[in-house]
Amino acid sequence: MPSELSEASDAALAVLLQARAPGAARAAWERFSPLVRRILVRALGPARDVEDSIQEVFLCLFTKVPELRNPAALRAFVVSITIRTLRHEIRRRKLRSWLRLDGADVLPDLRSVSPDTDAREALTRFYALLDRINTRDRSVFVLHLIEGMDVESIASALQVSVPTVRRCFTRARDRIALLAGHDPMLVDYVSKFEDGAAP
Amino acid sequence: MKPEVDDAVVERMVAMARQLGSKTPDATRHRQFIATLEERVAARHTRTTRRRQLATTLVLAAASLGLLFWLVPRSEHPLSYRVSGGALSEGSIVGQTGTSVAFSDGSKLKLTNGARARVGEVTAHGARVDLLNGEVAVDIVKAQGNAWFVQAGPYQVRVVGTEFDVRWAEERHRLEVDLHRGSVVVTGPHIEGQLRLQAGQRLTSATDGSSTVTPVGAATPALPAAAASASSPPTPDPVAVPEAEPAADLGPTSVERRDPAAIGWPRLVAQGDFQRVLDAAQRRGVDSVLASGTQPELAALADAARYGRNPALARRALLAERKRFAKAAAARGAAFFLGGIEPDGSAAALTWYETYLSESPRGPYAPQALGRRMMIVHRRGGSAASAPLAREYLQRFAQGPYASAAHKILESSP
Repeated sequence: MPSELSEASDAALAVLLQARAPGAARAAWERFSPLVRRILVRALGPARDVEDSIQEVFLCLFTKVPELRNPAALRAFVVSITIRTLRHEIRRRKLRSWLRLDGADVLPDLRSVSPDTDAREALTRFYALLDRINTRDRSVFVLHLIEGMDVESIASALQVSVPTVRRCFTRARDRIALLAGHDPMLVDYVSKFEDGAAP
Repeated sequence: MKPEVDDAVVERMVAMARQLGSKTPDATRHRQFIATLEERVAARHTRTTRRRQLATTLVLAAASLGLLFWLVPRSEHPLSYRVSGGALSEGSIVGQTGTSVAFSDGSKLKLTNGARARVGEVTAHGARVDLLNGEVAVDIVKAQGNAWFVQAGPYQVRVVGTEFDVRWAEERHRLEVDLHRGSVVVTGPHIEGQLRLQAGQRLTSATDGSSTVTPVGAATPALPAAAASASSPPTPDPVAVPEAEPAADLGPTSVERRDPAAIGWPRLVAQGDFQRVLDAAQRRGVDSVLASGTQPELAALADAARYGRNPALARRALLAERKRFAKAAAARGAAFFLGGIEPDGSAAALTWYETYLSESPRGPYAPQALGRRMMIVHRRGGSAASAPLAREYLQRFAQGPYASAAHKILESSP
């Protein structure tokens, strides 16, 4: 990849993408794929392979980039596409789970996070709780609390108002806190952690 | 909006979730994707056009089907039922040994010897059963829109999805309801408005007296009642559940009146406010709670005690839950948590995990119970002893958290 592409600003890269300049797609991939991957993995949980979803995001980006009016907003555009893909993926998974096409009781390999089985078990159960709240609330919760995005950016990406995002977050937080508090294994795990016995 | 969450569980899980996503991308797939990028973008254009055409067709088809659905008149068939092992007399069923009524939705009635009952109005969502005299055990399958009623003299028991025994002594005009699971709403004389009974409670009411609620296991003065069966597995440290205190007079919300704080115990536990639950139990008297508390109260107390580092109280609450609500699924789950309370790797813990697995082989904690059982057996008996459990574990939960341990056990077993 030419060094000028890797060092180009977001606005310049967007213009190059719109012009289908050689190497621009690869530069976009190099720049944004870590961000996209991180959002998807944190939102969907460790049990799922997100590679296909990441590729979906970039295919969509390369298709839609001519519609981008403000080239400087390329990063926000990528995030917006990622969130749309994320919501689509959550709905697809719910449908597959409903049709029993997914192995719902499959536990992930979280050795990269924590080698102990209790941690794996706890994180899996936590993401199973996230599966029980609606798609938009879940997206807001994950983007704000786990990914650390500010409310305005989330509102822009989801194309809703800031008060709506705040309501979604509050609703999701309360619901998840309630569900998590009701899960004896999660509470057990955290109690042990606080005692210094676990991870 | 504060990004912090007060709840310790969520906070911890969020912290763990933040560690995700740092893995290096799959280099092979990365290269493949880049290599075929142009073709995939072009292919996507074609696919999108086709999908739009297909979507339009599907929407039109769905609209037609929807229209058809609303135009065709719908009918609901009432439930059917079959009586077995009884006699019919003057339009009512007279119970003999093994008399039962099985409804098409899976709900069942069992009449004791000499009991008389009549199946009244039957709808698609339930039926009205008139209990004329004697005892009937009712097991209703929970379903949305359920409308089941047991009429006993002037009393009516409204059912949602539950299991209970109801006795009606026609001559003495006395009613007894033993609730094993779920909840029922009772109306009748000396009950102001509606009384909601919870699992583990017995209502005794007479038309010429008062109404009382006692634990199912407690003795009642007049009607000979078959006590609910309360079983417990071989307990490493058995704890006696004290006798119930005399029940107080009952009003429409007597359960709530006993201790308003008890209503919110599960919620307090969910919010992490364990101490308030423990304090409320102390105020009410721990023995009294263990003897007369509802199943959710006992479960909440056990949780609060476990999380509040009081394993002795947790053990008592879990044992009481198992003893008094033997038929409830939650009580079966108590065996798993009893295993967690016992010293790690102990024979007592092993016994409880085995109990849980025998009672709930497909229960929500089965993967953990089997995994922990396997680990304890391995620790105590080595690879040879634990190999069968490792095989079972991999067969049932191939991707489970103990899968790698199971593989190692099998690799090292002779």
